[in-house]
Amino acid sequence: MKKLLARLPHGKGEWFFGSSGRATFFGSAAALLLVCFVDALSPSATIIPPYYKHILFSCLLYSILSLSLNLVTGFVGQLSLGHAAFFGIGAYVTGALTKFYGINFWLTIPAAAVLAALVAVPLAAAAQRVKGAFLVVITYGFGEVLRYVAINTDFLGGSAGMPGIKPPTIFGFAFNRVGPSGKELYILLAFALVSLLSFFTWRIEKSRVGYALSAIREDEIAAVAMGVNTKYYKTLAIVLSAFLCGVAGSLQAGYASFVSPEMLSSTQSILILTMVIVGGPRSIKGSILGAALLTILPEFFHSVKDWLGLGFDPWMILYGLILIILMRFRPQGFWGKTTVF
Amino acid sequence: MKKTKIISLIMACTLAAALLAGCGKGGSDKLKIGLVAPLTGDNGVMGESQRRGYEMAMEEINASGGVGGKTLELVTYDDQGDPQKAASGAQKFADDKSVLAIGGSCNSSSTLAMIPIIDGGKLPDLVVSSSSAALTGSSEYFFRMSVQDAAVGPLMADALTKMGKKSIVVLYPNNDYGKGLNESIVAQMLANGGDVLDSLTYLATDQDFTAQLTTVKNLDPDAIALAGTPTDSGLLIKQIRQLGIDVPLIGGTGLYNAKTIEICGDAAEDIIVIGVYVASNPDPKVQELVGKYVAKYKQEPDGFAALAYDQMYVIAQAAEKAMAANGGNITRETLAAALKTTAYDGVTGSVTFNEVNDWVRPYLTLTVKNGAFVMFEG
Amino acid sequence: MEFIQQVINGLAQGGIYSLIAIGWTTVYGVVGVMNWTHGEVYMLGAFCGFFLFTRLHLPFLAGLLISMVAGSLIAMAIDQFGYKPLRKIGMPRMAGFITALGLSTLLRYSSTALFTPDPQAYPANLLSYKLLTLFHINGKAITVSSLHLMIFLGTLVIMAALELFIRKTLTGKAMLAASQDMSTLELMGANPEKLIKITFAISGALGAAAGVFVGTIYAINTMMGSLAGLKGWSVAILGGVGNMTGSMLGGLLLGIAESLTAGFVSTGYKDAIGFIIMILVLLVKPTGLKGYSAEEKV
Repeated sequence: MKKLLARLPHGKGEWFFGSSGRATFFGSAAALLLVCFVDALSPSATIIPPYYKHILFSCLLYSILSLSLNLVTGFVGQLSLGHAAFFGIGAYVTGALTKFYGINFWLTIPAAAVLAALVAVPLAAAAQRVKGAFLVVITYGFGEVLRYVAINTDFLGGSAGMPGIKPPTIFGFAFNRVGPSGKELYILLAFALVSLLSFFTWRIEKSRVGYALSAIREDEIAAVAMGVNTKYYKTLAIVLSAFLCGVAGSLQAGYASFVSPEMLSSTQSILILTMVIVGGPRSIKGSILGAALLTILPEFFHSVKDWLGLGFDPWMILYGLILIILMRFRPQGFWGKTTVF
Repeated sequence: MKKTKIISLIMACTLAAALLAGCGKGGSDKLKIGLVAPLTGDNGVMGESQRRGYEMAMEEINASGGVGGKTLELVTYDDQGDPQKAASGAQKFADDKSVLAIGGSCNSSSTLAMIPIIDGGKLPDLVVSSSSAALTGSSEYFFRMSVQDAAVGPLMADALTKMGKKSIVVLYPNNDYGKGLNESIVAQMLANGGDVLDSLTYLATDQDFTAQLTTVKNLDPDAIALAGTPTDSGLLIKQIRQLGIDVPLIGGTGLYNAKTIEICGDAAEDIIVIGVYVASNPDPKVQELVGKYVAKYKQEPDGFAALAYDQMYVIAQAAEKAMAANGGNITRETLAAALKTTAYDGVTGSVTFNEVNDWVRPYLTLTVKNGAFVMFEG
Repeated sequence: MEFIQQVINGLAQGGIYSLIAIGWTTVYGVVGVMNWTHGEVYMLGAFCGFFLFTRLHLPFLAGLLISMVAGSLIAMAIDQFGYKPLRKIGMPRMAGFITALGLSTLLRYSSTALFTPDPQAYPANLLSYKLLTLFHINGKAITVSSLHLMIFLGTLVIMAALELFIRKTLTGKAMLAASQDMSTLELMGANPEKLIKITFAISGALGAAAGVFVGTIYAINTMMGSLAGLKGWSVAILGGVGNMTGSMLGGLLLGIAESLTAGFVSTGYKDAIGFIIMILVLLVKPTGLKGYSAEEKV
């Protein structure tokens, strides 16, 4: 155990918020536990309504997605508008396997992730040949084609989607039956994944792979000249990223007990990409911040609309404005380290 | 480092503000009704109609003294047709104990995503669309006032059979509404001894149907059945006539909308439509609604708006009943119980719910004369 | 012969795709930014036409021209407020793309707030409609709608005018040169800002024209820009970026492919086919059908 702890990062690392990775991890874990179970301690009314827990879960879920995309967009510098497809594939695999074949939720996660990764291989092959604007179109088209497949496959529920997916169980307890609102275990699971992923990303950045990816981003031709196997590393980044998005998809399918073709939509892909960009590419805390901001702000503006009595929802207009202003004055995002793309 | 701290501080403030945002407690003299629906995006029209119907009815109810002395208030949540957002909206309203009931969403996929949440929050949810069979009996707090594909399809097939049309083609959008309607038309048509030459699908956002209609033209049917919604059906009717396919057209309830006629113009003459209500109905209740609605929104209420208008009255009536039975107090549970025994006579007919909270209702057969929907005779 | 009929149907639709694609490709060629807002210019052009035809009852040609001017102004404004400030700070490509995304979201949703999400139709008597019989095969008439034909011809006229402008005028030649190498052109003494303005003006006019054409045949709403813009983009890439003839060919190809897919394969995959073709073409020939084989600079 001591050995294991010693392997955790320490000092001025930034694999998570703050100055000390370990401190932040334990700090946020404790805060999260408090948030989750404070209601169970208090005898009377709910202190933290399930709606906030729902938003918290969404933040964590999108953090997984943006951290995954960060591997491609941040490290390799390739824009992808198709990552919602991997998210959707993960969700559909988990949905179909648990619903139609009665397979345990936990066993479907690897299946979902592996399938998402396999589907990413042709996309990775495409990314070898084209880049920039061309890659954006290819990834976009790729996601759209998969969405049409989901809409046109009756077995998967067609455009209405697939309801009634069984929630995951732990020691025989269904996830949605544990805790004051039934969302606590999902939050903790998502938090565990986010921390693992942050840790993993932090380690990758300082590893051989990380340096290779940075080399490709900064100057691909120079990287080839230095003997970096760019093909291998680019494929690795995309496949790995798809794998992780697949895991996120499984989680969402279990949480909402519902999947639908909208999960694969380009709006979703654009949202994930802008999360990475707003927070700052290549930055771990940036990706998490971006995901949190773009999840919380729309909800916040729903309330603003009610206060002001506006006839329309101002969020999407503001969302556009935020992107424009951010690119104008801080193109690297909040915590981004690079503007090279 | 300092910059980081400032940004963190701003973040924290935003978070705190967002947290506080939902905490505003409504006064006890108000009954809040939520609406989760697509108000922008591809399905914005449906959600907007529903919102207008609600708003109209609410203003009338409040003007005549409200419900048991309390005024109704509408709070909306734009889900943009995305099930994940719809689930967030449902969760938001489920937590806000001042929200008594909600309406929405429109697309079956969004409504399906909301079901586990409204069921957990014991929050009555009423819809005017979402006809997916997967929703039937999905929760005892889910009340459906939409049209039933299983009822409309046979009516369309029977009307065609009565006109002596034997071989038909069905055109339907590739969503659960279109698919369900197509299935029930085909089944009834075959049962009537007729023949369905082909069922062709399209995407609800398509604009050009020349490719499908070329196939239809070659099949040379006696009649064409349309299972779509205003925009796509309007364009279809226009293009069917433009291509010189001169056979009777029959449409489902989705076609009852002034936009259908606006988009296809003269081509709309003599099409037959199964409807839930008709604006030219001389019933004073209908005329009052149409008059006020046109004055406010510059267009006639479509089927969704009329259903939503009735729905708000249904909610108000059930709330009144629940309050009377419980000494002026009302909870979501008592409201749901009262809704189950609803008997309300509105512009779209007499509303009652069956054992799975579906409204089984009569339909009207309409046609278009001089650019307006009128009752079909013979 | 259904096959030939479907091909003709596809040509009519393809003309509109070509028009949108040329707007994309000129801007990408000269400025090097993925102008995601092009779909929005197309939508705004369609709405401009709608107000001109329904409120002012203008004849078709006048409405079309005014809408094209309006489209130019909108596109130039987008450049002025969106991209120009970025060019000053050396425009990282990603920043340009994200700005375009933001601008497009901003325009689309402000329009929805302004015009409501309701679909709108142009007046029915704007252009007279007739079903023209082209020829007979085995006793079956092959037909084309007069509207489609007129719009197809209109597209050809606009493209021919543009081609002439590029081949014959100095500004046009400069644009062509700019799409190959902007920095060298600058050394030759051309004014890049002026060139960029003209490019945006042309692109906006073409987008608005496509919007008015679509409004004349079909119906319009505030969300129409997203799918049409993307199809235009895939066509531009399919044809080879910066190449107008390629865009033209790509548009017609996509129109025919969609029509044939809907007629013979599956109507549900009609919209997907464009993306499938595009991906396949790009994998085999990354420069598109007629793209310049740009050598990667080392």
